[in-house]
Amino acid sequence: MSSSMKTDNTDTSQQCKISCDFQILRQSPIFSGVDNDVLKLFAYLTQRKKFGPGEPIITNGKEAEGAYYLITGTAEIQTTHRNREVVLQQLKPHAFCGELALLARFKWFFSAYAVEECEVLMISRESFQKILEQFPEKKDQIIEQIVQLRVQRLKEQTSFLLDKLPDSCLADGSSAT
Amino acid sequence: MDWRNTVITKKPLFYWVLNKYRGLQLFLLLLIVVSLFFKVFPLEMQRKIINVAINLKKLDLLYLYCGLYMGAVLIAGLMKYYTNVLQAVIGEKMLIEMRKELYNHVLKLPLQFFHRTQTGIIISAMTSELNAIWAFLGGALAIPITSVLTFVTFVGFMIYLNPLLGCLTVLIYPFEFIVIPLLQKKYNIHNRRRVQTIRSMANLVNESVSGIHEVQSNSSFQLEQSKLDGFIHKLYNTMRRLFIFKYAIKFSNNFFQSLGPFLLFLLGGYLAIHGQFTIGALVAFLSAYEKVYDPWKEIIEYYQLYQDAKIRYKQIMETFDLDDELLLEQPQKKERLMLQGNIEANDLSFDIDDNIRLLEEISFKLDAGKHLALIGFSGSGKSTLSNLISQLLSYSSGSLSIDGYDVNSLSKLDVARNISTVSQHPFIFTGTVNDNLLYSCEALRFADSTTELPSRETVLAMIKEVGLEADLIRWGFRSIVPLEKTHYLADKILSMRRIVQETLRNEFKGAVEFYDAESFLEYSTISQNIVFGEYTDSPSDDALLSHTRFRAFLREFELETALLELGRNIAETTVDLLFEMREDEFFFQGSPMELDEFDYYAEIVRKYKISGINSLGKENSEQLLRLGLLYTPGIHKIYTIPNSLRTTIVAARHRFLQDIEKIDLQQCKNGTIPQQVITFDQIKPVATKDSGFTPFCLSQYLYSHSLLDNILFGTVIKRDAIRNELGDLALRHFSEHGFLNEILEIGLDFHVGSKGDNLSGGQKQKVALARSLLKHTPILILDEATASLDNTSQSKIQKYIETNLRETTTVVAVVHRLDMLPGYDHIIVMKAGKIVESGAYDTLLEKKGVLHELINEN
Repeated sequence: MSSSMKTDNTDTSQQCKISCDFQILRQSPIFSGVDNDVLKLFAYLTQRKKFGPGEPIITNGKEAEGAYYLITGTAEIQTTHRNREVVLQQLKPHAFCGELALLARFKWFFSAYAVEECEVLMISRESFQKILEQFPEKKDQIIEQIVQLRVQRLKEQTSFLLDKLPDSCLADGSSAT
Repeated sequence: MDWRNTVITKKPLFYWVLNKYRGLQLFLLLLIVVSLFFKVFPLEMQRKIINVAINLKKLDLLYLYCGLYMGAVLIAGLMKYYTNVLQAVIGEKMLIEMRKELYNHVLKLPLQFFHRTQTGIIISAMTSELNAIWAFLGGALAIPITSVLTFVTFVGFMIYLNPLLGCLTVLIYPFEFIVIPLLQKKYNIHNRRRVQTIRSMANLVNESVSGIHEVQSNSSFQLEQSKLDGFIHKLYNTMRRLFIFKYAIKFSNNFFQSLGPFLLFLLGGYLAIHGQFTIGALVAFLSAYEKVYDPWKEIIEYYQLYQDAKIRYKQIMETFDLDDELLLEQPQKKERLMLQGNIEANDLSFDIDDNIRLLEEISFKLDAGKHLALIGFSGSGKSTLSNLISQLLSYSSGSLSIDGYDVNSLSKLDVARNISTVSQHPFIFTGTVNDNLLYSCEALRFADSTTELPSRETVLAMIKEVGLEADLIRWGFRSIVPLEKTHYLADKILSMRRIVQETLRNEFKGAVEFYDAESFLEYSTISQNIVFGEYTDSPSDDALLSHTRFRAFLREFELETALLELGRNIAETTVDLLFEMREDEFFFQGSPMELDEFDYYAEIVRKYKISGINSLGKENSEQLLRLGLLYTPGIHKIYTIPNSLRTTIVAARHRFLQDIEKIDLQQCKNGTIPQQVITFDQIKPVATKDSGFTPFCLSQYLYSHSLLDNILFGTVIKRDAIRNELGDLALRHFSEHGFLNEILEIGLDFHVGSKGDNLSGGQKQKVALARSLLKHTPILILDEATASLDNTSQSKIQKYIETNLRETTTVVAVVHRLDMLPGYDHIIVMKAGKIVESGAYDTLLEKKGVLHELINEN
């Protein structure tokens, strides 16, 4: 199978969608080290979506269908705790969000909102599973990278939240009144 | 014996023959008798031809006799042809009667029958097995009578020619009387076996298909195969033996048949040599002898057919022969029984199979208009009790009465008029939503023509009550409005379109791609982009390859080459990228190519890569062009077209609309709604100018598009948004203008699919509820009828029951949600077939008994 990309030569301002998304995905830590062939299939199956300011990208409680990769714009991850909206993390371009949805079925346990106008790439769980069925050697590698990413994000979120607590709480672990 | 009023399963086969269509059968008989004359006449002519014409060398007599001979043969032939047809017709008519009566009988059989009999048997018996009897029925009377008559006539003729020879030849036949029945008996045994084997096979297939989910998930293909193999072999063996006997009977017939001429030639020749027999007579005798065989053969065949039919008939009727316990109508027509709904049970018990007791000495009293809740552990008999009240089951001992009438004494029609039942897993019939909603009422009307069907308003009101309104709207939106309804709905739909365009345009902008004559449509195919409209005689996803005007235009505008190249590029990229994944449908979502076309296109690409583009034949080029025309930029990610092509296509569109279809672009331009709304009548001259073309113009109704697409006037991009917020927004505006009912009406015509396949479990339940509630009977029985609904819907329906049916309808509900109990007047708690607690809700709680425990557990 050839790995040459077909780009249109007559009009350079309109780049091939697949090659565009290919370039974007290549930069992500999850797909590092993945063959071009596999990556091309992912680029083929991703969908681009646009979200206006304040629009929800992920809604808490809905079925998680796939992972989102932020191309442009910023977004916020929020959760509702005791009827209050708490921001867990800010997302900048080139960040992944919801990557666990690629591995298993569950309902979203947080929400993600666009702060400014955002453009995202969505990879569905179905595409992920089906592509990697054909390339099982790659599967373990990517899954490992996804878990590492998740761990990293969890660390970031936890320190973000802990920074907000007064020092007195951190000492003995009791909750702030 | 008067068979007319006995149950069909006890009627003998000959009942149908002797009592139906007697007139026709008599006529058939007459015809056959008359044709007898024309059968004997040629024989006499034969004798005359030889003895008179040839012997005396009289040519003119020869011609006369031959002519008469031919004439008689022709007439006899025509009459035979006509009698054959008549026989078949009579047979079919009798079969129709038989079938109708049988079906009628089957439908009224008690539930236990259906529980223990497999569907395959019932279907097989009603269809193929009954068909087999058909051949016998038509000639059941006529054939034996005429065969005997014919036989006697020809034998008489033979004896007239020469008594000695005549009697001799006839004597051969009695031998057959002995041999044939013996063989026939064996044949019957195997025939019976054949029928049983076929039934078992039908059952097996029915079972494995019904359980196909299990079969496939267990991959038990070989297991199922081996099961069927057993039967297939058994059938083969039975059929083999069957044929052996069948043809043995034929053989013995033929043998005895040949015996005759042998004797004739021997004796007749001897007599002729001694001058006691003329040649002519010998010839005529031989002909007569041959002709005698026909009625004889018919009698044998008739006998076989009769045996066959008798056995099949018996087997079919035995299957359905049970005591017809419950009658539809009482024998004497009483007045319509209208019940109040007072239900009383005293020591009511129910056993199955004579020793398993499902209900034990149930006693309760429920006044008319009161609501009773049955709760209990699973297996406590709640459903059984509700089935006894609705007469679906028949109780074993004790008493169960409604308004003093014993439940088992009520006719089925009385039950239908007074009791409605909703079960947990209702059956939805193939048809429209409306058909299903009116099913119960229609059934009542068939039996009692004075019943009125509920009005459209009533049906729509009930839909709102059970919570089907949103579903109905969604179905309505998905439907393509049938042509007969468009002429009065088009205006309203166009008004709704205007509302979206004028008031809601901004909100819908991101979720819908509107049809804009100046812009390239990302979510439409290339051919749709060029044509910018729909042809009523082609499907909306047609590439329009065979449309002559379109193709001519493509060539003239020099687009064909560009699109052919586009198609080629798409083919190459798809084949390249998806080669590993070509078995999976999922991956073809981003390309206009379909899975089953992959190999074909792969071959084309391979060919032209080797031999060059010009080596492609016309057919292959056409298929590549097709890919290009079906390409939809917003969906097919496999390839990206340059903006220059987009501009070219929009320019081509303008030319196409103006030059080929003669549409004034000003009228079509988006953003400026034309001052004068073109009414439906005026649309015709523009649209039908060239065989049904409707452009995507603001004031044009699009016949091949769904209701929703017509209202939105564009392609849906964000399906979820339309389904949720935007959908609600639009509906609010529409109902303000009073258009909601139109959408609901179209929704009513939505086809539910085979057995309601297109509906979710919850939707089926709501339809079943609405169906029963529309009958407005004094008694309503709910057997966990809301179990598959979400909590909100359950509460909604519970509320409806509490508010609207209080005091007017007696409700007996098997309830599974304890929080709904306060709404009931009386509660019965059951366990293992007995009542453990009975009383009002508050009373039982105070008692701190079983109910109290159940509630606190949860």
